[in-house]
Parts: sequence; C-alpha cells; structure tokens
Amino acid sequence: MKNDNTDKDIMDYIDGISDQLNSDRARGEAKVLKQLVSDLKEIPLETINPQADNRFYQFINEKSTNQKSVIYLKRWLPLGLAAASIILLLFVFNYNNSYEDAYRALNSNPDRIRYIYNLNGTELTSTDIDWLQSELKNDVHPNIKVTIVDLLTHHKSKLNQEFYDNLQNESIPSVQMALLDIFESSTHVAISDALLIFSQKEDLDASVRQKANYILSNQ
Amino acid sequence: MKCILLTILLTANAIGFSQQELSEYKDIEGIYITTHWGDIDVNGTDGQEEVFNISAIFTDTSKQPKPIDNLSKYLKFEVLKKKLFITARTPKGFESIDIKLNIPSHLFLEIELLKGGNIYVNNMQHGIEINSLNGSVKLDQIGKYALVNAANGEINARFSHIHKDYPISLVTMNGGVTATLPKDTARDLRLISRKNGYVESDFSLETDKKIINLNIKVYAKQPIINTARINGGGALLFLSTENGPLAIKKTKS
Repeated sequence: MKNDNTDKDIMDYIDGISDQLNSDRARGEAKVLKQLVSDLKEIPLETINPQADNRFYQFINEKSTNQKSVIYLKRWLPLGLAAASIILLLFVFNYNNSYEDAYRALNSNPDRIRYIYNLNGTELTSTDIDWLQSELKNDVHPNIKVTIVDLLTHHKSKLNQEFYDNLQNESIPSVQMALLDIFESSTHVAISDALLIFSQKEDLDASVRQKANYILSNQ
Repeated sequence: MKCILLTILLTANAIGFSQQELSEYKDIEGIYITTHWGDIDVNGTDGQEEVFNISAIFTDTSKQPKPIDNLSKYLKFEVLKKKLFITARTPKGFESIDIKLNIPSHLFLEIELLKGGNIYVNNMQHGIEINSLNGSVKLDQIGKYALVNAANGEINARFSHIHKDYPISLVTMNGGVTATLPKDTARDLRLISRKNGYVESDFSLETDKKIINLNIKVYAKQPIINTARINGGGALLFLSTENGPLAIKKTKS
C-alpha cells in the first residue's frame, strides 16, 4: 500500500499534478528516473549501414519489377501463344509447299528473277517444270521470262508440248529468240509445224523470223 | 549567222516555255513511262538542285520537230498508289514524241518504249526497269539495280552503287551489252552471246569452263555461254545478247 502511494506521488509529479515529492523514497526513485531520461537522450541515433540501405531499396525495386513482369506476361502470354501457334501452322502448311507457292509470295521483279535464278542449283520435279512452263504464259516481265527460259535449257528432256506452244503466244522478240534457242537443240518433240506457223506471223522481228527459218531449214 | 542564232534562241525559248512543272507529284514513289516512238531522256536530280519537270518535242511525217506547249494533248498524267504514269497517246500514222524529264533521283523508274527510240537515263538511284523494242539504252550513274530488255540496240549501263542482293539483268537481241560496276562488286555472272561475240572483263572471272574469246576482240563463230563469278560471287548479273559482245568493266574511281 505504501509502495502504491509512493508510485502515485511519482506519477503525479511527472504529470505535473503535484510539484513536490513527499518521501525520500519517492525522491530517490524520481532521481533515478531523471537520470534514465537523461541517459536515453544521450544515446546517439543508430545510422543504418548504407550498403544495407542500398540492398534494401534494390530489393524493393526488384520486387516491384518482378511484379510488373508477371502482369506483363499474364497480359501477353495468350497473344504470344497465339502467334507461336500461327507460325507453327504456317510452318507445317508451308513445309510441303512447292517452289511455285514461294514464288507467288514475291512482290517485286528483282525478287522473282533472283528466285528463279537460284533454282539453278536445286533439283526440279516434273511439277516444278510444269509450273515454270506455265509461268512463261503468266508472267509479263521480259527479263523474268528470259531467266526462266535460261533455267529450262538445263531441263530440255523434261519440257513438254506446252513449253513449245508458248512460242505462238509470245510477243517479246528477245523472249521469242530465247525460246527458239531451245527449239534449235530439241529433238524429242516434233516442232516443225509449230515453227512453220510461227515463222509466217506478220509482225515478227526480222532477226526472229530469220532464226525460225534457219531452224526449219536444218530440221 | 544572225539568222541561225535567232533560230536557236527562238527554239530554246519555245522549249523553255513548253517545260511543264511536275512538283505537284512530289509525293510519288515511282514514275512509269509508256511511249511509242521517240527518245526518252531522264535526268535524276537531288539535293538543292532537285527539280521535277518535263518537256517534249513532237515530230510527224513533216519531220519538223516542234516543242509541245500543251503536253496534256500528247501525254496523259495519272497517279495511282503513289505511282505517276506518263502515257503517250497512240500515234495515228507516224509521230514521235521526244521526252525530257528532270526528276528526283530517289524515285523508281520504269520505261516502256513500244516502237522505237533511244533511252538515256542519268543519276537514278532507286532502281530502273526498261523494256524497249528498237534503239539503244544508255544508263549512267545508276543505283540499286537495273532490269533492261531491248530487242534491237545495244545496252550500256554504268552503276554508281548496287544493292548487293538485287539482280541486274541486261538482255538484248542485237547489239553489245556493257555493264560497268564498282570495283568491289561481288556477283554471279550468267553470260550469253549467241553469235558474233567476245567477252571483255576488267574483273578476274572465276569459271570452271573456258570463256571463248575472253578479252580477245575477235567475233566468235560459236555461242559463248558461261557462268562465272566476280569477287567471290553474289547476286545475279545476267548479260545476254543474240548478236554482239559482252563487257564487264570497273567504274573508274
């Protein structure tokens, strides 16, 4: 009970309710308390190790970035998977496609000529030869046609009647001449009738007509 | 003498007045010219000297060349998808239209000369494609690539730079073919000269088959048909003529 009164005296003193202490014990306690407060004030503030500080902030940043990338991934993952699927499908469907399909995808004349020329180093099937023969009808660019004819000179034995029929419909003299060069050395197809009809066309260039007549006379 | 001078001045004046400005087409990417008879002279311009105009001279059976004042009567100008098409009217009887164009050098150029005339092109840097029936084709300071087809006439093409992946194809029926290239150009060559040919080359030619009359100016009786490479090979350089020599020269730097 006595201790309770002493503690109350001390608390009232600290709170400013009373301005004096009534016992020696209370005064002693108060003195110890004052010293404690004084000592606490004199303790220097603890500073954090700067390296630890940096590591802390780095950790926070990484955490923040990682959280963002998770969101980013979540957002783009379906699109990425869709794109990968499309690429895979394109690959699967194109894997067995012919040279013709790849050629059709080209947009410029230089690309087409480059593509045709590069076929010189590849094995061509009869389907490829058929396509190249028909391309002589479809394509309009003379330099492309001349490149095709030059490629086909290496496959003379595989050329069929369709190739030789091209001569009748061709109007560009340099292409006509390139075709005639193949006619000149062909032996597996009867070409005399076709050549005769061709050589009688009215609008033939003089050099082309001369060449056609020369081949006819040497048949 | 005074009379001659006056005539020259009047002609020059008339030509000057007949020049038509084309700067309204400055946003196009290419020019596509189709004519029947007459010379075509195209000059690429760039930088501060860039101009974009056209002039033309008309000649008919009277053989009296006349500068054309009203170009739209003879030539149609049409823009489709950033392409400017300049098309000459279909001639009634003989008429030729000589065309002179100054155009930005960055444009793509395509020329189709359906009947006859010479073609001169200078300083075009973005590729050129030509199809001509009768007449020579002379190209100077050409960039990127060229595809030229001519029936009767020589082809002479000098390149200032070449896109390394783009082919060059110069094909004629009658006449020689000359390609002048930067000295470091690497190409696969396809050389065809069916008759009266030889091959001149400033480049060392790598080939597994002997080239007939290589650097010997004697017209061969037999066809010259070879594949070869210069500077290790690369994109295609296709030179072909039915009748005449072939030449591959180095640009003098």
